[in-house]
Amino acid sequence: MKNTIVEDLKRQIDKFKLEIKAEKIGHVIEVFDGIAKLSGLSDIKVSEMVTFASGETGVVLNLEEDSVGVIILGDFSKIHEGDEVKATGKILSVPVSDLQIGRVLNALGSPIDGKGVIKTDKFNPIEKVAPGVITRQSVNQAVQTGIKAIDALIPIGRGQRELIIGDRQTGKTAIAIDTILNQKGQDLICVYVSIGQKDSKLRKLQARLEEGGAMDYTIIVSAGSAESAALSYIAPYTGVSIAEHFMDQGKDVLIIYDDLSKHAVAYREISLLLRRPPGREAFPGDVFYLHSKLLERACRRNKEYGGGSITALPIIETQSGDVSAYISTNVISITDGQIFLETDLFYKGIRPAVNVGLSVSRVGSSAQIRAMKKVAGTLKLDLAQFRELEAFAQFGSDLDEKTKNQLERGKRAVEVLKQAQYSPMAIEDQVVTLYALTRGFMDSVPLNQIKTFEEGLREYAERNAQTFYKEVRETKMWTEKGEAELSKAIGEFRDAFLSKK
Amino acid sequence: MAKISTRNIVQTIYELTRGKTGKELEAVLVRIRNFLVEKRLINRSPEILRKLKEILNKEEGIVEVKLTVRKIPSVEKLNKIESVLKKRYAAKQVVATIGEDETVLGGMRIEAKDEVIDLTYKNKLNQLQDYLIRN
Repeated sequence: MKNTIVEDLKRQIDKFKLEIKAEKIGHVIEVFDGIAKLSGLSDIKVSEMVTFASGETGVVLNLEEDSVGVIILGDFSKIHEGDEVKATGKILSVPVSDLQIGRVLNALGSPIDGKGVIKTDKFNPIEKVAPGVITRQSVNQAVQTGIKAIDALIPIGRGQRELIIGDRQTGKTAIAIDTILNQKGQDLICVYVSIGQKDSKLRKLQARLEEGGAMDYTIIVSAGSAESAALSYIAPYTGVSIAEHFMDQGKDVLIIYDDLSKHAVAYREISLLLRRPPGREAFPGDVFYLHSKLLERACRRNKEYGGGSITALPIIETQSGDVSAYISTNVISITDGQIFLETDLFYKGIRPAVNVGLSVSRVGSSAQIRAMKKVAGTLKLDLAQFRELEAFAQFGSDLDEKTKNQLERGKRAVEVLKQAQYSPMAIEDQVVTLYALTRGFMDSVPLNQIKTFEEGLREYAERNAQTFYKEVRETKMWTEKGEAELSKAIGEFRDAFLSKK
Repeated sequence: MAKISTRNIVQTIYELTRGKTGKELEAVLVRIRNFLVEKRLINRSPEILRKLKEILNKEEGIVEVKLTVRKIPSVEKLNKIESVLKKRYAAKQVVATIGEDETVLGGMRIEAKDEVIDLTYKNKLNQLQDYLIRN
């Protein structure tokens, strides 16, 4: 045993090659709030890593005439004035590996879940130019969120960037988590980037994902609220670098940035400390680029370039529903649509509190499966008309039959689109429910029994409309035969349901 | 109003003093001092002097080198080191400051401009330690 250890050590020492090189050095002029100003370090590049004498690392952000501005990735209290700093010659990179799936990582890609070291030799730079036009193709495959209101009305495609926007406590993270939970068996790797969130929230979220078996295909990257602004700033880039590792293998990835408002605030803090000129709301001039360069990395690659994709779901928190704030408008303009969540709807019990009128998906409809397209085609318009009529109907009760029917249908649509948290629904079940709604099968069902009807219908239809289910599951198509079978099954169930009551 | 950088000040001082000697130089230096006081730049004087020295050294081909060793080497060895450094930095003259430090264990550490070449045993052992931990 002892001999083996000695032999191993000897072998390792024999393999060791000493590196003798001239290194560029500088010295710390001042340190404050996670920022260091350095002298020396000629030839250093922006985004290059530096190492301090205390072992901490930093990233160069500002190159000035006489000094270099660095953000410190770690404990800056260990760094003192006059300390030596070495340039590494490397752009900030994070470790990437397939073994990171199921793990919780910090903003530098190191595990923080206590499950041991992840051995990898591969590193990806966190700053990378987004894939060019030649390598891309348009979105043509759906990401099923399992949320009826989204899959039917605001469909998301693989490679799309769909913003989730709303006030605090409106269910933004819930949508993201439900989407992750629904990816079981969907061949989609999920990366959840937590920026400036409480550790307790993250722990709860991890436990929920573990419970739902979602950690088998999920990676969590976290920069907690107790960590420095520098780590919050780099966390989303770390997340997307890891996502790119999988996309490069031709896999589909879903990345959630929770949330980019806090990311922008962290960047504002860094920029102000680095004395960059403040602009609107004290954000620096390049805050648009901060998010556009990140979200442009989400794309769908064409087959010649591997065919992988990164779908991004950035989250933005608004203040009192103000979507015209600086960061909100920036990210709305960068993304391919937004899911707008409203406090009023949330407290009315309409959950997910999606405002269907303000929410939009600019490219997702081309990725929507045919069966869903067929049943949800007019739903958005119906809901919009319902909202208008609802407001109008408040002024008088003397309404014609058609208007009354429209109102009743609308109320049922709102009821059907309500969905409890952590209960994503399979796409075929969604199609059945929406078919029953849009074809008027639910018109005679009392409003307070819609949920019971819906649950019973799903079970009944699965047993009695097997051809339809098979077609939707396997081919995502819609045939007349399948439709007839479904229509018959729903009719039978409705009659039985109503006679029972 | 644009901020005057230290580099601008140093460059100007260098231009003003170049080629001047005796009373002429003294008069210029007094004016420079008054300017720095008037513009409240006197607190930047250590940096100004450091940078001025850098410019003068560059002009005269002087390279300042700091050597850290466990034990001061022989004159012969020092001459050899000097000639190597002269070649490396294309310098006419090498001004070396030698510091003794037992913790380096052996070898030497050379610091010149903003460059360091660490040939100490301590560095070698640190590298070996990193390698063994990684592998």
